[in-house]
Amino acid sequence: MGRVIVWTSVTVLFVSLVTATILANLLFLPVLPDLVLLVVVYVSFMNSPETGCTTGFISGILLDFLSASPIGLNACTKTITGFIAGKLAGSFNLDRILIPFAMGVGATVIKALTTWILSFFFGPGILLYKLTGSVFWLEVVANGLCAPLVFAFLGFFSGLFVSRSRG
Amino acid sequence: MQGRRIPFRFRLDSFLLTVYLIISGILLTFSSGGFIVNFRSIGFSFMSGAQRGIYSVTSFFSGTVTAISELSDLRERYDGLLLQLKDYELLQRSNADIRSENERLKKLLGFSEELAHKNIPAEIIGHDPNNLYSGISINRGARHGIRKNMPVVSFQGGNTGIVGKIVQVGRSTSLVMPVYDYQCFVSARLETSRYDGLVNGQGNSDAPLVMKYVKKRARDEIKPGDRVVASGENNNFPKDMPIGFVSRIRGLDYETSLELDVEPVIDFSRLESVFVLDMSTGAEN
Repeated sequence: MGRVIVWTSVTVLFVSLVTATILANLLFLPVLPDLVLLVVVYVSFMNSPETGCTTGFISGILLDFLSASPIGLNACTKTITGFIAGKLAGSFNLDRILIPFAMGVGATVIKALTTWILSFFFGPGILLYKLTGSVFWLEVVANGLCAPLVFAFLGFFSGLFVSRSRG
Repeated sequence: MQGRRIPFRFRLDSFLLTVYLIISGILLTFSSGGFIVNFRSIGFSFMSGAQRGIYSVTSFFSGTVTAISELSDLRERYDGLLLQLKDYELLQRSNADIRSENERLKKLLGFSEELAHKNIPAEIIGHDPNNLYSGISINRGARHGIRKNMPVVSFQGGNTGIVGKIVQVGRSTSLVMPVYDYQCFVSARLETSRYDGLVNGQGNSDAPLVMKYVKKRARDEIKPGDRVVASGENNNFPKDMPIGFVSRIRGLDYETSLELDVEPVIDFSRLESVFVLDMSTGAEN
């Protein structure tokens, strides 16, 4: 588990920096796919809830450092998402497109829901997705479309992201 | 055996002809000042003609060989020159780029010198990875004198405008909250009518800013295109620093104030460099 967490943290650090410095500058992208979220979902689903929430927390904290969001917001949402994805570990087989797409969409919905719940406790400092706005739906689609690619890429390095007890 | 004898018959007529011709020739030579036929000239002409022929043949072959060799050299030089030409084209392009960058930097320098406050120039290095937030990372931090809540402005296409304010300071980098962020509020004023209000973003650089709490009685004095500037209250932003232009006026009967849509002066999609202002200093830069 320790090895998986270390490699996931390194990957997430790299992915978040690429997102912030390269993808964010691509003007043709209406929204940014949450690649960190997808990495967390993959690692959680391939391991366990323990690994899921740990990697989710570390990833979220790293992302909080780069974002103008209140620190801890991403840590919280990703911990919950990682935990839920970890709970689903082994429940079904991971195919190439449909299941990853569904997981990408589902994780985005969980993230939005968690943010909404957190806003009750932490007030207006937490910005919410608007169901009537385009950002939420575009991010749902972007994450759904990117999930099969991210999962396939991480699948090449399953030795790094899947603990030996499961692999 | 008796040897066979070749008969010799002196042909006097032939002999006399020859002698006469010779004597006549000698006589002519002296009497005319010279012999008509110049053997030296004849010999030279012959020899030089031969020489010229040989030279022509030789030069034809050597010329052909040289031409082939030169052609080869020329091709090499041609290829070399083509490469040089490409290099020059690249140089010319980069020269044009440098010139354009130079112009841009000159304008920025001019702008930097015009600012009344001490300013720290910075470049944008990244954007917020979270779609709900719109932080902009710059390459200057505490090490360069940046502190939280410092205003950030820029100069673009001859216009100066507010970009946002510093919300997070690292050692070498800082995070700017742009004016179009949901959580960014700027105390503002209409430049001509002097009515004040509060400018707030909608979370998206493409969406207009919204100026709220403008007195309803100002309705007749405001028109689209009016400039909105910072009021300078609390010394958060430089007074009269432009924010944008009014694009739409909204006012409902049951509301006590107007809401104005404001198009930012700064085009955030092309924003590359900014200036962080130290409001605690005057014109000392």
